[in-house]
Amino acid sequence: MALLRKITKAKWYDTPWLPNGEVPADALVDLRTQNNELSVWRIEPDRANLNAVIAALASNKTDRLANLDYVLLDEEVVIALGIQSVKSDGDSPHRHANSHWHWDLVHLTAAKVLGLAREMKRREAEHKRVQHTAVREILRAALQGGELDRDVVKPDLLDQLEGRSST
Amino acid sequence: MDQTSTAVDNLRWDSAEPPQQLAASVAFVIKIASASVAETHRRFLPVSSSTSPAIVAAADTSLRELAPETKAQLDSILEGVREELIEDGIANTITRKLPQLVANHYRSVLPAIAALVDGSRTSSAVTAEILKEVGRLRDATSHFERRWLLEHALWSRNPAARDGAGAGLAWLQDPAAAERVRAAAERETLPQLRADLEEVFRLLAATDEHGVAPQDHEG
Repeated sequence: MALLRKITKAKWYDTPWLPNGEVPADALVDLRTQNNELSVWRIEPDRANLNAVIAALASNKTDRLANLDYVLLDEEVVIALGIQSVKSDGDSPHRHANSHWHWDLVHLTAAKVLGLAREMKRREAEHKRVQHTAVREILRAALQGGELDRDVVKPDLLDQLEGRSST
Repeated sequence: MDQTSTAVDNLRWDSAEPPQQLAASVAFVIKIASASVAETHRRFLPVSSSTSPAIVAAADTSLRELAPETKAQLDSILEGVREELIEDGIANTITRKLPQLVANHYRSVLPAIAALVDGSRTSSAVTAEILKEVGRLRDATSHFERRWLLEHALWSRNPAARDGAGAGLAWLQDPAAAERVRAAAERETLPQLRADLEEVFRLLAATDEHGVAPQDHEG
């Protein structure tokens, strides 16, 4: 199993002053915790649920259509860092994804978060971007398939997806 | 620490080093871009007074100074975004205010943004966000100059700028940029960024002259 976390790729690139193996401090913003927990999504080995999770993240509290960046991390890496995970309900508009694939990394310390960040940085090849055009198609399909709770999707995003607004 | 208070202070185009460097690269890029501008306009842009080759050739816009009020607005945007989380899909000061500023003052603001990008005066996330927004905003008048800026940023030493430029060009959907994106992808040393640029190239190459991608027929 892989764990997926939404990131903003621009925060993770090396800078000329960054020592090898280090993580830019700004990247930690992508790993901000609440109650010492970090929200992640479990991706099936065949990645059959990847689009559903992308739909969940791309519609979750977002004001407008955008590309979606994420990092995939092998669950074994998280276990090796001594991080525990527990199943929890997500709060995205995608009900099925919320109940099936949303997990929390719990009891996190600052050291564990930094360890996680280092592993994420080390596996840069697993930093992915879904272009906005693909996000739009995934979201439209999820809306048409009734997978997204329209009441939870922000109106501006709905307008863009349904052609009532172009920006 | 007070980065943004001086962020735009050095954007006087007649001042010393970075602007000089930029002016040279601007001239270079414009020279190349001008060669294909007639074709671009014929195939993609409605020709208007603002997109005509004469105006583009006179794109010594880079040599203009930012008017004090425009500079203040750009500074205000950079100041506002300092305390905000930059996250894809989430509105911030850049997404709220930059489109209007560019639409009203593109001839002076876009070169100023180019200097910001070249000078690495903003954080990686802010740099990328600005460039994404430059590509995303809807304003036909400034289309060519925005494309120029994004193509210019593809060659930045800052990977976040190259990242933002690629995303911005994906939004701009101008097939005339496809070859430059392909060239940038071939030159890119970061595998993940190269993959993203290759994807943008595929997107642009599949976009027709009206800026419509295959999956975007309904506009």
